[in-house]
Amino acid sequence: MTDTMPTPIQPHPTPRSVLRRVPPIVTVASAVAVVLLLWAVLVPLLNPADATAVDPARRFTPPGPDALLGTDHLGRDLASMIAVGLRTSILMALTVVAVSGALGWLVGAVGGYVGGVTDNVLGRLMDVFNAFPGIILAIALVTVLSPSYSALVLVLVLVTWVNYGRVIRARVLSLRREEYITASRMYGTSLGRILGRHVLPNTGDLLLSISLVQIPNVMLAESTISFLGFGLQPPQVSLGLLISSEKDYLQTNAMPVLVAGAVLVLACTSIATIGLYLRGKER
Amino acid sequence: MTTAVLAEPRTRLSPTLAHILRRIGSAVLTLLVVLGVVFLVFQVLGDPARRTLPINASEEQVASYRAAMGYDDPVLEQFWRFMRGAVLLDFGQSTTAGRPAIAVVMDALPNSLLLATTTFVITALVGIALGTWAGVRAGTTADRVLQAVGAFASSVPEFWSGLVLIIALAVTVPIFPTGGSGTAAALVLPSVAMAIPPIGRLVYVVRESVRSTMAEPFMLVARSKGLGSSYTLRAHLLRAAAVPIVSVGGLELTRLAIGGVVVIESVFAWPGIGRLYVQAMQRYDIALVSATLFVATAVVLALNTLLDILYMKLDPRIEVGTP
Repeated sequence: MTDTMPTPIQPHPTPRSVLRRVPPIVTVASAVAVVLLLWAVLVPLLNPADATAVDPARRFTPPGPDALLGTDHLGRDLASMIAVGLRTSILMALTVVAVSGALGWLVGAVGGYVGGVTDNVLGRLMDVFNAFPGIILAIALVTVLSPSYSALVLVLVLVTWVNYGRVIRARVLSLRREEYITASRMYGTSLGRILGRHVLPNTGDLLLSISLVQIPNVMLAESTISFLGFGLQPPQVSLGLLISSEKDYLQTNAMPVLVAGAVLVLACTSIATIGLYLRGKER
Repeated sequence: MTTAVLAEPRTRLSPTLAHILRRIGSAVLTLLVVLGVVFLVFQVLGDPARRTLPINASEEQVASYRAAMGYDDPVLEQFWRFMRGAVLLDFGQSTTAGRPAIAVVMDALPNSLLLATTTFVITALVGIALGTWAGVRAGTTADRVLQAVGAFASSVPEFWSGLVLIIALAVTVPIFPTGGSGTAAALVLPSVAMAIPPIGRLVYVVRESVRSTMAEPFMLVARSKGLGSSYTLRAHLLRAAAVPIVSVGGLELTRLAIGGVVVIESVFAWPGIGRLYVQAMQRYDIALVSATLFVATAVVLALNTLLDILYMKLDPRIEVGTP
């Protein structure tokens, strides 16, 4: 007569114990990300006129009480420029991630769930988009559509959506065999309802972690495209644009280039660290 | 009662050869599709006449240019002309260079390949060395630090790292030139800048692969046999861990060769196809754009096919079948 051991009750994770198990680098990254985000949001709110105020008399002033980080070659306050640029980048990245996430999820989920010819066709579509180096495609599309905010968003969506498609499809392939899916189908639930009620909640974690990794990618892509002159145009503010216009003055004052880039890198790295951590958790 | 057996075909292509032929076939198809898309997007949907001429060109000038270049002809006829030329590698005259577009591209291609290869070598050496070092010390502080550095490196935008290098090593301390090509010194900064993100990514992959190979039983056997660590490293560890490293490395090379060079060449004024592409786009030089994209795609596809062959040779366990 075997005596089965009662399963030990898992202690309910308290907030403190959760925080203890998170690697310190992730906590640091989250703190950095939050600080940068707050700065990007607050500075433009506090003095909206400052950012693009051109004042040639104040060219290249070193950091002082007036301009916390100095000014650029047109006399604009560097700190405000960077904050506004960061905000633009983050907002655009969020938009792109939302749209491409939805699109990628749809394609991946439908392809993975329905299978057959549909899956083949959609899979090929994803391969085509995957094969092409993003920047080349992005530049080509933006040239044809004339550089603008929405053109840039569209282009970035087209380049990012495949990152969702593949992974979601893989998850859906394994979800397909779950009992509740089979039960729903026997019940006669429509495809749309199954996708919405069952597949979506069970792919939510993937969506979150992929998004967190894609946001910095999109931010970097937008900066690169703007740097090359194909993205946002003045008077819109972008970190890439800022670096591009200041790069001719490296001999005089390298501050704008260094600081703007450093802020961008910090923001991207911190968000990416959080995303990679979450991605690792679900394996 | 025996059923009739289907007659075996007399000659049989070896599966490897068949696979390679299939790959070449799909590569040609991809090239045609790329050409078709370029034609569609730039010659049909865009307005090539209006875009190529200066802004202040009058309507008659635009119209006469359009007629002269044949943009008024039916689309199919244009398409046929385009494709016929493309197959013969004739993409027309580059409007910005005044020379046949294909010649301009072929002049620039070796520069990009030189840059990409140098970058690849740097990436491979540094990435594998650091990754292995981190992998055998998995879990230690050194490893964690390196992981953080790697994550940081892989998200540094190339245009920025290029500029930082210029600031550090060409402006503040004038060791290297700020741009151009021709001298070996000019090659250093761009290739180092281009190597940083791939190194970050490669270190991660190498570390993972080495770490998991370290845990395998045969490694324990080697150690308990009394084999010294450097021998074990070389003879056993690296060979087993090589597969994912090669595949990622190859991927990086192809991405480098085409996508990666675009930004770096622009920052350092390196005369390669990346910079050519950007300039062609800025000036809507259709001939140059088509030629550049064609050559770029061809190079990428060729590299991918070569990689595939290498991959098959490296690990016989990989089956060559229909995907």
